[in-house]
Amino acid sequence: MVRLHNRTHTSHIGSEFSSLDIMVELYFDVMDITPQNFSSLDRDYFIISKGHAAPALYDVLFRRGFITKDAFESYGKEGSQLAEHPKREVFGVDTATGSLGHGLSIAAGMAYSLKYSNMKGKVYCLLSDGECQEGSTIEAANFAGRMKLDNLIAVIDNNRLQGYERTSNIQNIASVKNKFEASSWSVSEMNGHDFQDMRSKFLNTPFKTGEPSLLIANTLKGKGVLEMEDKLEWHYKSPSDVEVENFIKQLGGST
Amino acid sequence: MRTAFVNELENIMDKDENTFLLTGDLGFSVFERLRERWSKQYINMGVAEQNMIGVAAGMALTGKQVFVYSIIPFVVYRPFEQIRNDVCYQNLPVRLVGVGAGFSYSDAGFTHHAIEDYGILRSFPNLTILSPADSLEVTAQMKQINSLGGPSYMRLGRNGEPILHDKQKFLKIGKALELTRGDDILFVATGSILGKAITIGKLLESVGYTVTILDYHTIKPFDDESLLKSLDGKRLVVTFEEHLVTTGLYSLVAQTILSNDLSIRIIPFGIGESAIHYSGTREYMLTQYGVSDQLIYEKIKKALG
Repeated sequence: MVRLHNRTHTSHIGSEFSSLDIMVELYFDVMDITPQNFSSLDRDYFIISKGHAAPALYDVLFRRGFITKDAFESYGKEGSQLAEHPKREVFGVDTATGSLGHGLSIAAGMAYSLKYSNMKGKVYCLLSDGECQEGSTIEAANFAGRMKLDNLIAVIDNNRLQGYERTSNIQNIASVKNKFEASSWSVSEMNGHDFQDMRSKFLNTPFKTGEPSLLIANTLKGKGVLEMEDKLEWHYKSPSDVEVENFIKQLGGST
Repeated sequence: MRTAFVNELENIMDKDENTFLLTGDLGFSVFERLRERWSKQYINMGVAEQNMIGVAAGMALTGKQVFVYSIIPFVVYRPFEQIRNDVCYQNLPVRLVGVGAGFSYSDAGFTHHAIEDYGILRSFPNLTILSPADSLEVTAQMKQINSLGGPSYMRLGRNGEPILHDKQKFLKIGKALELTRGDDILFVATGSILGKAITIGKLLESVGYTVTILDYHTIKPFDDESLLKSLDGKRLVVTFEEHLVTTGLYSLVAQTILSNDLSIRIIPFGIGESAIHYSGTREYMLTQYGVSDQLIYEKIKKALG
C-alpha cells in the first residue's frame, strides 16, 4: 500500500492504516465471506461506509483470494476498476461507497432483508468517526435499533482525526456512543490494532439479543509508521520516493 | 392515480413475498389494508428519507424488490445523493414512487410543488422515469414495472385525476402512445396535463386543423423514434407538461429535433424558470404560467397565422 500510494499520489493512506487491522481481523478470522460463497445471498456482508479506505479493502481482498495481484496493482491506473472509492464491479465489494453517511443505511437494509428471509448472515459496517456527524448515520442507527437488527455490527474507526480537524472538536465520541445507546444499540469498545481483543469482541456479538452492536475501535491514524501516526496531513499526503523504504521497513516489510 | 398504484402493488405483493413497500410516514387512508396484510413487507420508515433510500438499496442488494413512497420533494429532493449513488449508480431494482406531480399540492406552497423532479432525475444513469397521465396508465405501467431490472421513478398526481383513455390501451414502457393522428400539428404531452392537449386538439380540429397527439408516459428512456416519425409534414410542435420546460419534456423534444438536423417551430407549455411565491388552486397556478385552455388555444392559433 505504501508503494501503491507512492506511485499513484492518492490520498487517505492514514485512514487506511487506522482501519486495516479491523478488516484483516474480519476477513481472516470472523466473517463468513469467501470467493466461493460470495455469489450466494446466504453469507456475511461487509460494508465499508468509509469508502476512502478502499485500498486497504483491496489489499485484504487480494490476500483473501478475491482479486488477483495484477488487479490489486492496477489501482489508480487508467481504466482500472479499482478507484479510490470502491464499487461492486470489484469482486468482493458488497456496495459502492464514497460519500459518507450512506453505508449504515445500506447495511441496515441488508440486515433487515436477511432476517426477513431467515438467513443467518451478519452484516458488518465500518464507519469513520467523522461520518457520525452525518444526520443520515443517526437516521440509520434509529432504524436499526427500532427493527431490533441484532445481525448488524457496526464498527467505528475511532482514529480521532477527520479531514480538516481533530474529530472531538466537532463532535465528541461520547456523544456518538450516547446516540447509539439511546437508539437501543449495545455498545462496546476495543483496541482496533489488537487482534485478540477484536476477536473476542466480534465473537461476542450480538452483545444483546434483539439489539444491533456497535464497536468503537480505538485506533491510530497512520498506524505503524511513526511519521504518519496521529497526523492529520496523512489524510491527504502520499509517501514520497525518499520515504517509501523507511515506511516499509517500519511496517516490517522488505524493500 | 394513488388508488390504482396501491391496487396494483397489492396484486404484486400477493404473488411475490420479496416485494416491499417503504413509506416516509405518508399514505393515510391509502395503505391501511396493505399494512394489515403484509406487516413485514410494509415499513413506515418515519421522517428520515435519506435512510429510507439507503435501506431500500441494501434490501435490493440482497434480492428484494423495493417500492419507496412519499411526496415527490421528500422522495426525490431530500435523498438526492442516495438515489444517485446507492440506487442508480448500482442499477438496483428500487421503485421510487412520488405523489404530487407539478402543482398537485398547489395550495401547500413552493416546498411541496414538484416541478423539477424528472428534469433532475433524467441526468442519473440507469433510471427509468414514468410519468403516467391517468390511473389506467398507472395500472398498465405497474403491471410491467418489475420486469425492469434497474431502478425506476413513477410520478403520480394525487387522486381523482380524470380518466383520459376510453379503455386500457396497450401501453408499453419506453414507447410513446399515439392518441390521434393528424397532418398539421404535433402535440407532445406527459402526465395528467395530457387532458389539456386532448381538449385543445379537439378545438383545433373543429376549426379545420388535424393534430397528432403523442403521450409520453415514459420520460426516460426517451422515445426519439416516435417523435421523429410523427414530425413528418407538421407545421408546428407543441409540448405540454406540468414541470419546468427548461429541463423537461420541451428540452427533450428540442434536443431530439436539433440533433437530427431538423428545423420546426416548437411552442412549450409548462412551468417557467422563476420560483413562485404565491399559491392557489392547480388551475390558478398553471394559468400564471400561461397554461390554461384559452391561453394555449390563442397562442397556437396565432402561431398558425
